[in-house]
Amino acid sequence: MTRKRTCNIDLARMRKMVGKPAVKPLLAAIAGVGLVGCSSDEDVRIAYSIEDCADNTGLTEEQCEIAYRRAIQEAQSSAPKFTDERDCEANFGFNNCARDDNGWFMPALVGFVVAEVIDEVGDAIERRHYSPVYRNRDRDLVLSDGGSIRYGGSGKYSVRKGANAPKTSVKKPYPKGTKTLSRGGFGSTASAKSSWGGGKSSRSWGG
Amino acid sequence: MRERNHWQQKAVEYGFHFHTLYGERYWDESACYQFSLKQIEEDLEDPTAEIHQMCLQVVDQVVASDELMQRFAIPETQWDFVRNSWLQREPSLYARLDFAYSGKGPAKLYENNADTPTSLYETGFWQWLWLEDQVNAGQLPRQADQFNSLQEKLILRFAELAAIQAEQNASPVLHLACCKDTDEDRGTVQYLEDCANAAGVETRFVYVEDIGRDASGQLTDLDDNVIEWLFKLYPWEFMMQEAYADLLGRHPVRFVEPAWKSILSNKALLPLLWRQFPDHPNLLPAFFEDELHLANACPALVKKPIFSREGANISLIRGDEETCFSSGPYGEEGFIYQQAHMLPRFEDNYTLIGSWLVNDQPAGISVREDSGPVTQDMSRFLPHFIV
Repeated sequence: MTRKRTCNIDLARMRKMVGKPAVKPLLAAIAGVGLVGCSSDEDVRIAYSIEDCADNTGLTEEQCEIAYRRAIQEAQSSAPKFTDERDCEANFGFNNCARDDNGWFMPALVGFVVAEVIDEVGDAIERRHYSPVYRNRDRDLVLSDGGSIRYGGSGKYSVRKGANAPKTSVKKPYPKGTKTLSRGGFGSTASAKSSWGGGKSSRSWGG
Repeated sequence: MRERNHWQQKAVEYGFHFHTLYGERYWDESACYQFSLKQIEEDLEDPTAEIHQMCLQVVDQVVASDELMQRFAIPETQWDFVRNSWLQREPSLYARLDFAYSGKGPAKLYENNADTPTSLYETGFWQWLWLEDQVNAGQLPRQADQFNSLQEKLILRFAELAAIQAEQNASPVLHLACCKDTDEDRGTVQYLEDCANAAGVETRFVYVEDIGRDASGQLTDLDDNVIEWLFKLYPWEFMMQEAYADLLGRHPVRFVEPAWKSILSNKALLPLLWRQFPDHPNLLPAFFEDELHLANACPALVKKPIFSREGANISLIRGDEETCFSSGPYGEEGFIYQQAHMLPRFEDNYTLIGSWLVNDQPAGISVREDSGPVTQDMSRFLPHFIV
């Protein structure tokens, strides 16, 4: 005999008592990808400003300025972008998002990564990569792709090997943002008809 | 039938807020209806699938004719919008056919709620849970079944709709809208949102009254997001005559239900079905006002407004006498006449069967009871089972 009813309903999903988060944390999910052992880590410094960079890394102030500009540049292409500020804040915390020139909301830059090992010569420092750093909503330091940055004490940090490299952005193209000119152009018939008869008949506009 | 212990508590747990209305039962599990599998499959399921196909043929005919578009009271400015939605075969989600069915003989079609059917949550989820609980409690036999695959089919359909959106490079974000101040509609929309989410579709809610427009005429939500894919629990015939009506069709918004559903949710469907499929066992003779001379064989007629919701403005005509069954705010747009065929009476109640479709698949039934002969929005909802 064929069954005529829905085989299985996920009851936990149907319960309404417990509030569920309005927005799925986008980056938390990405950041959760496996913990890596020490051997696959790379020691880095995190510079919170050009001054901090010049004081605490092997770079000169001039080189730190270049690094800072590089980080900003990369943030524009690789930072997670949201059409809705609320979605951005759900991932990066309240008041921690800013709108860029194209109208996207992205997390505020808090610093950039400077690799510890400096064994290049010539203009290698200029050609190196300085990953932008953000804080997620749990106040942890993260990279553009949500990759974690671990604190090792005494101002030392580490990232997964290869994590300090250019990334592609996590763009959320929908829904698109716009500017609303007016509201209330739908719904007038319902309010006109519900004033008729009052009460019972206005319970539903379905049927 | 014994009611489940503490079912009201369970209703709170699952967010079913409208089981009691104005102090009266809406959800009523003090009794239930029993069907045989044969009754379900032969008398309800098969006719539902067939009538749906017949209805689609009527849509095809109506969009091709200005005269019929007029008879359906669709504003002339919206003809292209409705036609295009049909010619592009915009996908539908769901519908409910209402039948008078006594348990014997053919079920008779009253109307097609093809645009904004409600009582969806009660059917798809709540009565499913009732059966599950009653079986587990030993009140119903283990093999008891129910004609109700609504939730399963809705989730599958949302996944299909999402695939269509992706295929056409259209927005994957579904907005859902209903009017303010109605718990029932808000509950229905929440249920659909749950089903869409279960299919992996990202959703946003906006009240119909809060929908806005931008400079180019795109519809917007309260966060200034463009609405590109919209489920609206709000009748097409209202939207087509309101302030934003001229924005319809200007931007490629994918509406659920699509605009061609305005032809099916329209009572003018009934005389056209009868014209095209005369003497079909599941149809009642039905006529436009200027065809009443054809109705001489009918001892009595029911007069229904072309647009009407929840059984409003129905009257019975016998000879020269018109008896008002129900009052309401509809009727300006004209009426149709359907042969009077009373709902079957069980004990003191008149019973109506709602037979659900998800896209073109029969998906279950709901049973509504009323102490009066016209089923309205306050009529009680009773669960059913099959043995």
